[in-house]
Amino acid sequence: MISRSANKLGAQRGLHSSLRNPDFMSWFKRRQNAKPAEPTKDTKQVIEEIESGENASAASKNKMRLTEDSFIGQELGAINKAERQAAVQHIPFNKWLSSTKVASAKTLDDSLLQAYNSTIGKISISSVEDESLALPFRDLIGKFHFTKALQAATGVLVPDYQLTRLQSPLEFRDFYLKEVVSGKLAKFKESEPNAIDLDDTSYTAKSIQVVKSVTPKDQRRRLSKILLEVESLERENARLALEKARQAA
Amino acid sequence: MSSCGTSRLLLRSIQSIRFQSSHSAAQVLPHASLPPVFTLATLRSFPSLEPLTFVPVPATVFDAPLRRDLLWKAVVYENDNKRVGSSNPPSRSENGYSRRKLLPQKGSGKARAGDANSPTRHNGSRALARSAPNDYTTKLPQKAYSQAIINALSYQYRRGNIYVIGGANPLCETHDLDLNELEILPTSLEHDNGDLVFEKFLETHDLTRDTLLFIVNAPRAGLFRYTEPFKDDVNIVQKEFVDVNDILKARRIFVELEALEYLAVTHTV
Repeated sequence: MISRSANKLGAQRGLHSSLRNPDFMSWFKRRQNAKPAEPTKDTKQVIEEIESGENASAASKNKMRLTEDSFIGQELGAINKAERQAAVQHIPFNKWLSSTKVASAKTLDDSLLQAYNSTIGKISISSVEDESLALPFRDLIGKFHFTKALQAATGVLVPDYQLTRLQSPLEFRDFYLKEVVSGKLAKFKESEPNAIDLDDTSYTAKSIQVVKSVTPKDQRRRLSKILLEVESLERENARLALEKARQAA
Repeated sequence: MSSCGTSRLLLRSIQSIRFQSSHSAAQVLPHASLPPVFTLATLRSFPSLEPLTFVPVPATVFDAPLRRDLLWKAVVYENDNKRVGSSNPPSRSENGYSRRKLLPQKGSGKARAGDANSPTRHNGSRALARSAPNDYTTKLPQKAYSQAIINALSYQYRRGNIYVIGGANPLCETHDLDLNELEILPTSLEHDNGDLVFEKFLETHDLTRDTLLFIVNAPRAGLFRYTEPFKDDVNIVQKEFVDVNDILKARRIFVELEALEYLAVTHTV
């Protein structure tokens, strides 16, 4: 019996873990200043008020809900980042390399001819089919100046290993066509350096179709776009339904 | 007499075979030639990486055939030697349980058991426990390690990841904003903006988020200071302390010419 009554007592006792309030006199002040309680209304009357839009008090209209969406300012991190980005852009830097990388065979040919004519070509040539482009470099100094001019114009650094192996301007052209203009350089992924890249041109047979791989980043982007569209459509539908109901009433 | 004659004949025939074999080989491989002795490295200024000249580097340094076995051995050797060996697992005499025998030797129907400290038991002690410091160091012949360093450099060179910085006998002049060593200076005395210069360097050469290794000839205060915000990706090592792990893990390696000469001379077997 004793234990049962003790259990009952324990069940009724509330546990208070909040801090002790030293300013307990404010309780009386709050009670004095408290607004008189509004008389209770009938449920039907409340519903009518809500539907007619009469009960929207001034206080509830002015109250702003502090959610993430209602934040209209700029985040401090973003501001700092933009400021730093602008500062980096204005730093003086020796720009010897073209900022745009060569993307087409025609641009490459123009750059190659320009580099050749300005550095080692005794007679100016105007076509990449000229035989003199197939001749090996006469000396290393000429090769250096040619390769520097070519790299500066194309915006792509040629690895030293290739600089050693390639012996004529035409070989450089083949290298650029194979490694840069073909898009191999853009597709290169450091984590998978020897990855095999297949596309529709890899196979001539009609029975073989190469499905392009979709990166997880693209997948996520597409999914979020779809979800946004769905959300906006739902919101629009709800608004229309509400208006229709109002008009019907 | 006859034996002497036969031996002379035999000698002649062997000589003729040797002559034939050496000459026939030349006929089989008409384009055979000696492998190149040098490879080219472009000497560049920093931080724009503008080419200043070519320098010949021995092919034994930059074009050594890949030896994965040596690289593996060197990496294991380095990682073994990096271990501190501070673990202190308890032996059965140090483990906290009683020495009481858990079961009687016979009659329980269970397997024989000693005390709870036995290494075979759950929460038991560690068999062959050691006390710190534990030495995990291994040995590798100096020649094998040196060959591995050179091999790692050759591997990175062939992948186009090495940039040599220096200004010896240049064919072009160094730009005012550049240096011939791996050092970063602010653009003016009034502004301490070396970190922005380094960030600009990363942006220009598309190196953000890449692991970079800088092999310097001497301490470079500016480089150390201004790469601080990027310290997770930037590894600065003085030439004497370069190891195979550093070279293999880097996405791009920037090495001063003097440091490269030092590595080539020190590690050429």
